[in-house]
Amino acid sequence: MKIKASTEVCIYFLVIILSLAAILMILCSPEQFRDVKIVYQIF
Amino acid sequence: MTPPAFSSTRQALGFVLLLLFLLLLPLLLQKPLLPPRAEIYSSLSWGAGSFPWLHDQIFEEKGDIDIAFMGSSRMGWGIDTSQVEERLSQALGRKAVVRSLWWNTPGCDALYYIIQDLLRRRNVHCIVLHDCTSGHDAHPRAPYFFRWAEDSEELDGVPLISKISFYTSAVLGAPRNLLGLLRTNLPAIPSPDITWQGGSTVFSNIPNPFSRLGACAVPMRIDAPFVEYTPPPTAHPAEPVIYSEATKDQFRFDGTKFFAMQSSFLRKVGDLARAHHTRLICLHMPLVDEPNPSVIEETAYWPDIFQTDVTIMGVIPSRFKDGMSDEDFRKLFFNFEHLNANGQKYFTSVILPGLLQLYENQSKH
Repeated sequence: MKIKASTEVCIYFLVIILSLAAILMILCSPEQFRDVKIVYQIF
Repeated sequence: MTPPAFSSTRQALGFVLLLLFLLLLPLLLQKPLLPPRAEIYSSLSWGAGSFPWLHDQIFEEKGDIDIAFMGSSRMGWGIDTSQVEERLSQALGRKAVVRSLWWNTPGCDALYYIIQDLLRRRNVHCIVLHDCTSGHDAHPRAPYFFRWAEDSEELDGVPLISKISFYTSAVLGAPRNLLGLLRTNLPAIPSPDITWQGGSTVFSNIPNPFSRLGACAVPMRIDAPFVEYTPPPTAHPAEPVIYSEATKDQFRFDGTKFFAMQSSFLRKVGDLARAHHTRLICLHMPLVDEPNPSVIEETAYWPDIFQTDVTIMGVIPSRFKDGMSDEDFRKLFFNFEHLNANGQKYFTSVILPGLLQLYENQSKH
């Protein structure tokens, strides 16, 4: 199935928006949340 | 040349769906899908605070608690709970129930959610807490105790930046909650001692708080080898001071502005205390170097912040140190803000008369 060009733009747009949202969330959170070891322990 | 992030648009789509799922998981995990709150406490180890003991006290043990010392590690390390229970039992003529319930890292959100869990299950006559205010973001343990479907309503009045921080906590905590649906956590291993690593320090063979009514007596100093030490008797022994019109000159409130999130949760703690008829006492915990040793300096006049009755009590720093050299005084502390096993025993003996007086007066009313 061929993905339409406009859908493709939309997907990459979402990749950027969601990645930025995740980065914003981490930046607004305790420093510990940037520590992979601690995040791993939470999981 | 840097290779592209995705080898195909389909792979990018997969990434979008995965991110969407992870970021929306707190909203998808509605109340019926959440494991019981007891699982929160049993999923945290001694390295995060007294969580195995908190689990026992909130979800297993039944009956009233006369006095609960609650707050961050400064409280858990600073109070000899057995000494208080013994003296209070003598004063009341019955077996008193005194507990220390504490966790690592200050933060009024942790204080609120843990007090809420406790008061939902047990009647607590008096909670002794200390200044455990922190910044504008969620507590490092919020991924455990904060679950969006259950707790987001409590964020009314909390600034947006803090709300984002809580949502992030819920995102990080969601996979563990999903896991909690599949299996329960194992209970804490009963052992005479506990060991954990905090930063670069290994705390080894510390008496298990289960055997000390929740208190953590740390026989260590961060700057020197630990030696047992009892301060010598002085002509004018240190004594506790309870804030009142007559003693207000012995206190100073430095008026530091709180982060709105911290004061918002302290107001909620005040509401909880009022609703459950629980007395609040705010205890000034000693530091190695107090900015002004001649007065008891607290961040705020607590009744204004909690918006309910809060008794403020402390020991004038210069009186607490009376008769000790700087080096001897250091023998009471693990680091600049945590009392060790020596300091725990001594500080408790100093504040006990004030605490007993407050509790007995409360019992008469």
